[in-house]
Amino acid sequence: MSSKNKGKIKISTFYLRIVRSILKDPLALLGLLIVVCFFSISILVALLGDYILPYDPIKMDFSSILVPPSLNHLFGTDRYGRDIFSRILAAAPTDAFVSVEVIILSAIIGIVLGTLSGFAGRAIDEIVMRLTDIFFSFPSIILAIAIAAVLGPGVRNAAIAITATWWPTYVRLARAETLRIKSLEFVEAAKVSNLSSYQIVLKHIIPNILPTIITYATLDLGGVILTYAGLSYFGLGAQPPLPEWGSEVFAGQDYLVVAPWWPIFPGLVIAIVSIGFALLGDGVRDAFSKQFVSK
Amino acid sequence: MEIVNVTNLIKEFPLSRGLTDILSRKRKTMRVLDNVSFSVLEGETLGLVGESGSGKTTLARILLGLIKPTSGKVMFKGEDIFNLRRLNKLEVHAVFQDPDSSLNPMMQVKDIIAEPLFNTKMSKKDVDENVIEILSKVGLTKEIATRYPFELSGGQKQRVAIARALIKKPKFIVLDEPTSALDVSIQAQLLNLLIELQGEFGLTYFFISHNMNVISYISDRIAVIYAGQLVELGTVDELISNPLHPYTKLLWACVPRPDPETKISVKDFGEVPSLINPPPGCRFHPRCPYAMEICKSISPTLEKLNNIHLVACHLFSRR
Repeated sequence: MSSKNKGKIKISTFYLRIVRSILKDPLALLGLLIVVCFFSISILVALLGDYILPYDPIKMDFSSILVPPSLNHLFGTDRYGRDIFSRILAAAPTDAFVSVEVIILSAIIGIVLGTLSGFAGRAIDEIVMRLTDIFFSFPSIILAIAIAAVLGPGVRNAAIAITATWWPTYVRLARAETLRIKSLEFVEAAKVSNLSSYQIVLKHIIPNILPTIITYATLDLGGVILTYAGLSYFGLGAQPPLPEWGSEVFAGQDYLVVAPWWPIFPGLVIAIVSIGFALLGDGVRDAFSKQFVSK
Repeated sequence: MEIVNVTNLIKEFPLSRGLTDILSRKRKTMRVLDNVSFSVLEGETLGLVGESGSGKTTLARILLGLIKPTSGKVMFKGEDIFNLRRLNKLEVHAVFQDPDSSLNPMMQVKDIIAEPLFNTKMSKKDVDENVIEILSKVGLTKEIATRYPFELSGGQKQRVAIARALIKKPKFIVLDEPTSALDVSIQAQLLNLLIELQGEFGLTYFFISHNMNVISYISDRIAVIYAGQLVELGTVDELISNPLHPYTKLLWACVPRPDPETKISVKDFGEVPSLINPPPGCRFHPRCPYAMEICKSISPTLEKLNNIHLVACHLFSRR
């Protein structure tokens, strides 16, 4: 070992390259920007509460009912005189919380059950797969509504209800990837190297299914927000007077003609955040696929 | 001295059954290896040659303890590897065929190479030293250690795979077509490297290939497998100068020669028989130009002609 090159060893971890690749892709960068804005606003609002909001999102002000968008009220006000911009900002933390919680829980359940199903033999595989079939046999929004209705309305219950309908996809995904990877030669080599099944799953299977899971998850986050908006729309998410994007659209839809800003701005925000996640997801997928192409 | 001894090895894979088979309780199996016996001597390279689907890789996987045979014994240094699997595995490793799938794309080269040391109590520093040392032995620079497999060429990947196989100083290495995914010039380099390493570490190789040139270059002895049965086994010189089994002759006749005047003399190559319904008698008889009546009913056994040559063919049977 010559000392000349000692300090020059390249520190380039796999995920650092992914980030670098995303930064070079303008659309993915736009998506990343939207997503970063969404989460930083959520965190700021969650930490500092109503202090940074221009108006109290809950307090009614009957002197300024249905004011159109202006410099005073960027997105206008609703029929109770509440500032819609403030309400949208105030709702960001719950949406961020729900989408991240659902995706992370689903991904964890998916990886655990999926690798187990793909690696632990026929009997366990059958049990897990039939279980996912049961969940797949209902339309997910109907199932989420049913579960949320049983649990009762509220942000936490809505998140649980969505998670309950969300995890089977991740199990299927993780299992399919596990089956593909376990037949590759490096798994055989690991067996010859005397690694236990548990070590093989940790060292070889999970790191190799993560890119697929991460890609799918980023594409999927927007879907969770839409579903949560759907649940809120039916009154099963956040409860009035607490603001929430979906319920804001629902409450405002009767005023579409009189005060179009009320339903349109929250709807636009939902659309932008979903598109942001989708763009980022596309970028992540491209970045991962680039990484596996040999020079 | 024998390092590996295989006796009467049989491997059957179950086939999926249709409803009528299940109702009639018929069990369908495919016999991939049929009564294979041979031994590998310490320090030698035993080449195994045969067509695709002849059972080469299945045999390799059994020798590595990855799958269990249906019946028969595999002894490593006098001990049954399926009884003392863990213990004996310390001295056996493998190099696989496809360099793209034999290295985990998410791991750095140094972690890939160090994997066989993962379950030993070796300190991190010792592991790193071992990795650097073995890298230089296989002709790679230590800068490679922090690279990922997708940054390497095919030849470099295969060198990494060889380094992984060697790091724990095993005695016996199974090489399953290690050069068939590489171009010819790289193949030659790699074969020379393998020969060099064999001398340095005192290794015993079990080298699988479908390429007659490669196998005769690296091997001391060659075993020819056809449809799951060993048909001929002998030293390289003997099998080149005096191939006896019609199948071995066919294999030699198929080797392309760099001479435009020579035409491949084989007219009808035929196909490997179905292993689900193998032909009765000698499995080669439908393709054999010398097939006799006896070949259609009785399967020949591998018989010793002299000290360096065994063949399974009625043409040379003493009966």
